[in-house]
Amino acid sequence: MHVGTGFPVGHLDFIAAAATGGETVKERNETFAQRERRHKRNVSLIYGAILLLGLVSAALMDRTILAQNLVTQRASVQRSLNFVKFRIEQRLEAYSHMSSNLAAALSFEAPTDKAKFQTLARLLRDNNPSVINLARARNFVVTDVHPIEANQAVLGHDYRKNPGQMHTVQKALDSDGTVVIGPIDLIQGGLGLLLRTAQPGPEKIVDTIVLDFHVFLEEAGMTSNSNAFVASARLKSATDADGQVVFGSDTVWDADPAVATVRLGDRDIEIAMIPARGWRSDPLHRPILGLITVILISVAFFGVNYARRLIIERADAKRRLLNAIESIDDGFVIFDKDDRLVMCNEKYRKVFEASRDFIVPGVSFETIIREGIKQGQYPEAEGREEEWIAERLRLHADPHGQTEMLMPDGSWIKVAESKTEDGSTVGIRTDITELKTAVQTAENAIRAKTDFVNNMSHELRTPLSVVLGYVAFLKKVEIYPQCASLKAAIGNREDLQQQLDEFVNVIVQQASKSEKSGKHLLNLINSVLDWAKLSSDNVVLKREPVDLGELLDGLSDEFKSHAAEKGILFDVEVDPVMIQADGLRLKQVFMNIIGNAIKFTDQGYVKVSVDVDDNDVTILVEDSGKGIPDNQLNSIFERFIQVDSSTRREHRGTGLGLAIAKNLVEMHGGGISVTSRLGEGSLFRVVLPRSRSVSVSLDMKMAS
Amino acid sequence: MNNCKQIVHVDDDEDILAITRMSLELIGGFEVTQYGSAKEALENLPRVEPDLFLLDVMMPGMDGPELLAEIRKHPGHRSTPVVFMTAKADPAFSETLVNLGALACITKPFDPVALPEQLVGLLDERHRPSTLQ
Repeated sequence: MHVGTGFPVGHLDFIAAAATGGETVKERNETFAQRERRHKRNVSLIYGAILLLGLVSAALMDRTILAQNLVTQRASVQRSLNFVKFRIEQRLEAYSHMSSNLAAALSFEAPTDKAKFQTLARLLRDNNPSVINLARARNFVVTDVHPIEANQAVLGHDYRKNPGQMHTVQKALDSDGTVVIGPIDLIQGGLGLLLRTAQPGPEKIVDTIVLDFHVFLEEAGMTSNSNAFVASARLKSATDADGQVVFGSDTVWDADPAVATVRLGDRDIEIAMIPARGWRSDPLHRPILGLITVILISVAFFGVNYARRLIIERADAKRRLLNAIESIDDGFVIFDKDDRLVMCNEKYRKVFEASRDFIVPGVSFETIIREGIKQGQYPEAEGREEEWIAERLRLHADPHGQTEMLMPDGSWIKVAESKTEDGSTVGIRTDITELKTAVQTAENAIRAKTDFVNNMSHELRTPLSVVLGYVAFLKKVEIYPQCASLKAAIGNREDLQQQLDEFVNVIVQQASKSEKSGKHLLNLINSVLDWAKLSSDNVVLKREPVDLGELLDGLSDEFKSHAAEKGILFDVEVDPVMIQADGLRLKQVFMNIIGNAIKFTDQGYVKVSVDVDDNDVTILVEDSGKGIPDNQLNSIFERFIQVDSSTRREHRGTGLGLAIAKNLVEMHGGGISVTSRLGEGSLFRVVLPRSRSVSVSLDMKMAS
Repeated sequence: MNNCKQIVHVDDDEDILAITRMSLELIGGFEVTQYGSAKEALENLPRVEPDLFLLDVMMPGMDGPELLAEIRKHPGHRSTPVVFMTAKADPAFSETLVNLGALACITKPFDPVALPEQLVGLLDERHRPSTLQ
């Protein structure tokens, strides 16, 4: 059965469900350099775009500001121009008044009073720089002129000869006020503005004030050469064509000036104004604009760089993590909180080779193991599938589940699973085949050793049975029927009887020695067997209530005769005390310790006493023997150590006795220790724990 | 000590057979029938009526416990006491043998001089089986 996901199984090195969409680590590595290059190119493009955008924005803003400046400048120029226009009109008004006033003043004088005219005219001319000259005409003939010197030729001029002049003079006579004429070309050159006012009265007297048009305009604020503004004026023609420039330069008119029209008499004059330095917007904003632009671009660069670094770091961290997971030599897997596969490394899929096709993102854990069972992935599940699945799921749900699992190829996998904070399950699959094999080998070796020792012991005891069996009879050689018949044959022959007796003695003596050695050999074999069992943890204590007092009393009977033979005092002072122990093994322990004490004590005493407190029973075995050197106190409980091992073998033993005793005492939860003075004696101290149950049984025993 | 009690002894070791025969006949005064294998003993089962079977445990072909099972199948020997002899000096092993229905288990090497007395003691206290070292 195959789950048709279309997942590129054979090609896939790494599974990562939603995050990477099945992208593999290998593919990433292959394209890493390219990606880096593309990334750099993109970043350069972004930087370029930011720079371009910044500069374009700055330029646009610059232009807008400049345009705004221009508008402002034009408005300012226009205001100035309007003011100039206002001043022109004002001045014209003022001069008109002056003209009227002059006419009024002269009308009080006799028309022939030339001196008076000159006086008033001078007064006017001196106080008004724009006044070029003044004239008075009576009946259309110029009678007076000021200043006289420069205008002598005008005296006696008849306006009637000049229709243009006549027209204006008549117009002045017809009107009450002042007639403004101009600007016109003056005879003496330049442009002038004529103000003609008829004097009140019956006579046709017309006063004319000639203003220098140029000065007039300058008075009004026009200037052709200023730091701020340059102005120009021209006549407005009836047609659209440009009129004659009467003030300032032509160039003003070509420079898109601010324009206003002012009416002088019956003529329109256009006045224009431009800034002295032309229409130019001062780029005062540019340093600030530039600074702002630079700052904004820098901020944008920094932001992009920061974002880029963040992205790179995230990508690096993710890649590092994924690479690390992929590089682990163990299978690694994550299931989400709904127990669906999120990701695993290739090793994981190698471990579960048979289930490989089902180990794809999104598949639930249970599906994976159920399909795995169908593929023979789990040999241990065979025949008990549902039970196995239930066990496996229970373990999977355990926050710290661990087990060992046999794979179809005979390898062993350690399964360790933990829950993460968000409820996902993270698992590690470790190949522990080597470890398993090693443990198995070690266990086999130990078992083999124990078996060997057991067998050897058996093999040694069988021939020893024969040796000791025959020797036992040889010791009692008289029981042989042959011996009896030999005796009968000898009858009363004393010499032969004696020889036979001597022969029998020799046999018995040597048989005894053989038996002794044989029994020692048997002891050795028993000890070695015992030690082998203890060291391979093959000994199980049979704990039962034991009366330690009774046990030690029984032992003392066995040793009494031996002690008496050696002529030493053997004293056992023990009250009944119940402990929970293996009686046979404890007997073995004290046989050894007391036996040693008697063995190594040649004179004096061996005392056995018991101390009881709430928790422990302490058995003291004290002797006045030869003692143990300090440097050997610690080693006497080790295997094959005898205090006199380096000297002649005075006392024969296996060297295992105390080591076995220590082992057995420790198995009882107790301890054994020794203090000694060389030449004065030793004190062995065995501490055994009392348990509560023991004291109960003690009470029961005492009650009975 | 006893009145001509009959003992059937089975062991594959000739020397053990000899020593045991000496022990039981010369010292114990038993009447001893010996077989060198379990098979031989089985063949002769119908012809013997011992007061005690003394069986070696480790024998080639059929071992002691198997022989015990066969003996028990024989109507005449359902309750005949059986004592094992073994060189396997393991209290747990001895216990196993006693649990199989043996009266006791004697560990080799045994003291041939004391063996008859031991067996008499066992027979006398049949009601209380125990393990002897």
